[in-house]
Amino acid sequence: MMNRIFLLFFVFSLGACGQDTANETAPTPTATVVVQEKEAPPSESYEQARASAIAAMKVAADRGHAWSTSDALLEQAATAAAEGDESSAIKLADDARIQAELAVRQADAEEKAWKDRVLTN
Amino acid sequence: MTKAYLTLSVVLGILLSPAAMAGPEEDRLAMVSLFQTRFPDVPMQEFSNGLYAFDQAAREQWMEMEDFPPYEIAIEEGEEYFNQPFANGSSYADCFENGGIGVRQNYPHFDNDSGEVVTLELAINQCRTANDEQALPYRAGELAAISAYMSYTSRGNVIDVQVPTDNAGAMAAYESGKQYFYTRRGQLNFACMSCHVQSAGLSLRADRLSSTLGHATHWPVYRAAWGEIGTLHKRFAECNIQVRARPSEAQSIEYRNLEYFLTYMSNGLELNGPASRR
Repeated sequence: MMNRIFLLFFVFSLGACGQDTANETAPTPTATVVVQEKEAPPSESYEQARASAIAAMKVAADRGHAWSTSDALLEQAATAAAEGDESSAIKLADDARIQAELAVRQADAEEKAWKDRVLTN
Repeated sequence: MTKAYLTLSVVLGILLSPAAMAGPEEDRLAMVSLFQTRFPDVPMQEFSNGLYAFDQAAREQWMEMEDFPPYEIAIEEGEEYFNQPFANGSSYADCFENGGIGVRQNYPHFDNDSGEVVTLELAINQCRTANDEQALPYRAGELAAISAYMSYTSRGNVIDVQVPTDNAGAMAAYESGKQYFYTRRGQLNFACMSCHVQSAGLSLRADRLSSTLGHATHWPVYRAAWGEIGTLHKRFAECNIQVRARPSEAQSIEYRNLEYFLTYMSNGLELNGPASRR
């Protein structure tokens, strides 16, 4: 995460996903959508960061869009906390929350976007 | 994800998009048309062999592997499990039409009583629990072996999945599976279609991507990457993990609905499972 601005990005990536019409037959260049937002301040404690992450992850999961990256980050946060590394634990848990918030954005976008990909004759 | 949310999403989808409103047979014909156009030299049944239908080098390796099929042991073990009576004296054969022989082409189907899609693997465990036996894990092991044996006895039968358009429950399940298939998920933002429609036949890193057409014909599969035979839902979970999405449980409603859609897309193709893949 950067100091004042952090970059939220969906990786519309690995070639195939740049174009979104079903009948495209060739991979296209990566299109990375970068959303710039004001950075939220770090959570004040690991417990707060963890609770916020879990809440955001539940919203993503309820929408059917949970990302495994949040799960992994939260595990790493727990490990850091167990080792007494509070600042790393907070950062990792905050990152887990951010990833979950991105997953919810994906869910929002996909509510309509999937229909444009349905094959038609 | 709850059934209510799935149903709501599907209803909204149907109302808001002409393409999303296309019926199952229109969807299937569009899928067939796309792949026939993209691979004009590939006979229709060949799509049941995945990427080996259009990747000659991979096909040669696969043919060599098929000289001593790595799934053969699973078929033999599955037959033994299948024929072993339960503690109450009943057996799997008592739970299925035609004694469970040659029936895979009828799965998955929509069950009006439960209001849910029933896959063959779910039916195997339903048979067990109805006979006071413990349910088996769904991704691999004994259940996959039984499924492999039942697939083996169904080889050559033509997939004939029914989605009655006058059955609201069946249509909602199908549409839910269709929505899942076309929806991007995970940090890498991939839909099933991103790889297996849009990029089928193209390379992703070292692998060429298989086509949706034929995806459902050959399960369970011995994958070299797994070192064992596994079920279609194990593969669904793996796909989710690969795009950095949290996978669903095997035989979750969303995976069963996805299988319903995916198998319907292969209607008319012959079953050729179990199979081997890299």
